[in-house]
Amino acid sequence: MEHESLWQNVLGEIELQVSRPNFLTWLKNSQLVEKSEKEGVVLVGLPNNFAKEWVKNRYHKLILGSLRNFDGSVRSVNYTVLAGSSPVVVLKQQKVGVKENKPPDELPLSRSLIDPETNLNPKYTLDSFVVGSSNELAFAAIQAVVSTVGKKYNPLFIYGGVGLGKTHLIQAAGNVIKERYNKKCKVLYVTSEKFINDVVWAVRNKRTEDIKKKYRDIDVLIIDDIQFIGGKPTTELEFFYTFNALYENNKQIIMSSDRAPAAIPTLEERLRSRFEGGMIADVTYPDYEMRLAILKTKCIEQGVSINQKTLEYIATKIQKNIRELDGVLNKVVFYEQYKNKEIDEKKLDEIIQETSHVSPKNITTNEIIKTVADFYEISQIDITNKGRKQEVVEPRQVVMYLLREVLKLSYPHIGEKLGKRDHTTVIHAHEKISKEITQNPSLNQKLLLIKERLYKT
Amino acid sequence: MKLIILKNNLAEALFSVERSISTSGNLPILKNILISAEGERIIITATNLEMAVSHTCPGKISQQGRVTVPLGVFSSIIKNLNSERITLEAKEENLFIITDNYEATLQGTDPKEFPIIPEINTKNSFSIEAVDFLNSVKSVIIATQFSDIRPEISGVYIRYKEGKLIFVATDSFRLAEKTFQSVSISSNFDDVSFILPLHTAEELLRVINDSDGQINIFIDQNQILFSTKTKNIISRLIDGRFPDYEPIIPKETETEIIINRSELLSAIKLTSSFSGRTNDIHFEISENKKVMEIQSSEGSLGKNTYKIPIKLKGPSISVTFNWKYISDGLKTHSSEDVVFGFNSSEKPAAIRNPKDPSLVYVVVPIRR
Repeated sequence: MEHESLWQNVLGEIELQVSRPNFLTWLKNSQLVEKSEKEGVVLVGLPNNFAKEWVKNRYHKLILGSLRNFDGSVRSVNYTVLAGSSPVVVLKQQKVGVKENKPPDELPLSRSLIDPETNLNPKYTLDSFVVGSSNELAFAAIQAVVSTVGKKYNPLFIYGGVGLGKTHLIQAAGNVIKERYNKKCKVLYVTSEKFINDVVWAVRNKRTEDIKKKYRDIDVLIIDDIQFIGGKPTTELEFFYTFNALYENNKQIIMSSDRAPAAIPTLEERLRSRFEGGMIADVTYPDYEMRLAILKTKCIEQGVSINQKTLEYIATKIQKNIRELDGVLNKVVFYEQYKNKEIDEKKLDEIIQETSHVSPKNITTNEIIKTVADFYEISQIDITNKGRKQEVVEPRQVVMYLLREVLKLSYPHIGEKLGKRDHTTVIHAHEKISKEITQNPSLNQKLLLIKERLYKT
Repeated sequence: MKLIILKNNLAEALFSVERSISTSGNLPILKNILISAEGERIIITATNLEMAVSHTCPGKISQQGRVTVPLGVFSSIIKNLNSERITLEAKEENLFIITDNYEATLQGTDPKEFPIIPEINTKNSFSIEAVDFLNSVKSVIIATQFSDIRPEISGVYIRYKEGKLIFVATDSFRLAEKTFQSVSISSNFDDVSFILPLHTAEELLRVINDSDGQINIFIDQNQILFSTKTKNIISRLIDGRFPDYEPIIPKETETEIIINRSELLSAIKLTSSFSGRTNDIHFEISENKKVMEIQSSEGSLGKNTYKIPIKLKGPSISVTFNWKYISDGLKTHSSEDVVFGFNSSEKPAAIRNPKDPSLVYVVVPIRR
């Protein structure tokens, strides 16, 4: 019998024999910690020393008898105090005062590495950034910015998909600037969410001059995920003023976003034109060699060695997200250290599945067709029909690609659904789109928007 | 059980145990105290299963035994009696309280029902003068408060290492550290640390006083015993790891001011009348002035400024604090002047005694 169920049975029996208050006080939070099958010794854990003494002295016979009823092999019982149990008596209720709307900063007790002045995390450095064809432009721009703060490429706008290293790049830039110019250069890194919160706080407390002081009295402003300020008029306005104030004084502004300024639909025109006025650099999907290089760098950082073949396999399997790459690598490292043996292919596949498989909500074939058709403003019949007009070719291939990627349908099945096409047509479409999205940012953008619509409805 | 006891001795014992009963909870007997007259000693005990306090008091035992009665009623009878000598007699579960002009029968409970006070392993122990221990705890305890969320900091962290006792308390907004070093500490080990629950620490300060002489402290795995000639206080220890606090205490500070402690205290009290709900007051220190300006303002109330003379070393700074934390920090010190050290307006600041480095109080500024 399992420990837990055995103990539940015992408690059930004892509950009938002792008074309710006694039971609640002494035995409620007890546990059967361990049981050695050979000697028949059971170790019972109790929440505190008082309970341990009491149970040992008063309930021992009861417990032993009851344990024997359920499990004949039990010979004796020992008692211990459970570590980490919560206090039995709540001594003093904390006074719940008026909720402060601005929590004061805490002592860095948990030893967070983040610098409180700049919000930068020192773990991001330019040295640990792996440069490849997909991000060399962004990297070069960052390097130029670091050496000529505020003079060249201002503002610098970096965009790219999730988990491709935007945050790493811009934080690293902040760290390098901070180090190189020592205390002469004031750097501030914020996420756009933090900026929005600050604006909201200031508006509510009528202290907008506080934000002005905070954000205009710096030399380098780094804002992450700037796309989120779109559609929030007050924040946009405040950011617009801040932007102008900094820009006119030749202060460096670095921003990151998941798409190009022109593709943020809710962004106001005057902000968009300003974002586009400096340097825009994109970060795209890393190619195979780069993924492998990233994995190797991570291995060196963590001081572990993983089989070359395993790394190659991970690099082939995970193509679109460096963070997933990282996740899989961490799991592999954990597995190998825990089991103390090299991982096999089957387990590796499992890990990759777990990490990269996002379970979408129930999306049907028709929904995909409809969303794509709506997006390209063509009729659904055009997609399934035989026509080979230029405007329907791309949508059709996108549908095939999505059916394969999102729903994991078989090629022949997809062909069947889309007007009885041959499966080789589908394979071709899938390959074509897969290749295109790494090279053609506008197609990538379209796919992102389609997926967004797909998951939203 | 039958015994004769002086009212004052009994009242003193009741004072020691009165906060250690359980006020809520399932088990009614936790509202009781245990009076035991066994061997030569009369011992009064109370427990709430977190801690137990027992107090030995002098008296004459004519018949041995033990009895347990509700503290509330018993205590109010004893407090209001005007006779000096009291006879306590137990018959079965009832307790008779008899003086020359008064008699009461108090219904008790079977003493076998009273919780058994856990035994403690006396292998690890150290001893220290009560007055030193109490003063050290007193100087840091203000920095902590009870928290369900972070139990590991809702207590006083005490570490004994190489003849030094270090006391630390924090509520994550401020931190106080007191180092006590004296030849009067004797121990049988080199390094031990534990977290004493806040309630236990408060009780120690209340129950033990300077006249208790030496305290012997015994540390077991998850419990601790404080023992003096007449009092035993046993308590659980907080299970958890106290945060690595040492890096937080600034070793050096860029800007340092020396300031009169009591004047700063009253200045803060005065200026704080205008501070908002966040209790913020603002310190403005400029290089070319010999005074510090303490300001606070509230949009709907107004504002005020206080100028206070300082001796300044280092560059100008302007920094905002929660005035309650500053005031608490100043109160832990007793010197005439204090050194107030800052490192930028965002990093923790430290309040020290210029003549005695053993106590340091660290407080985090309010940003923005």
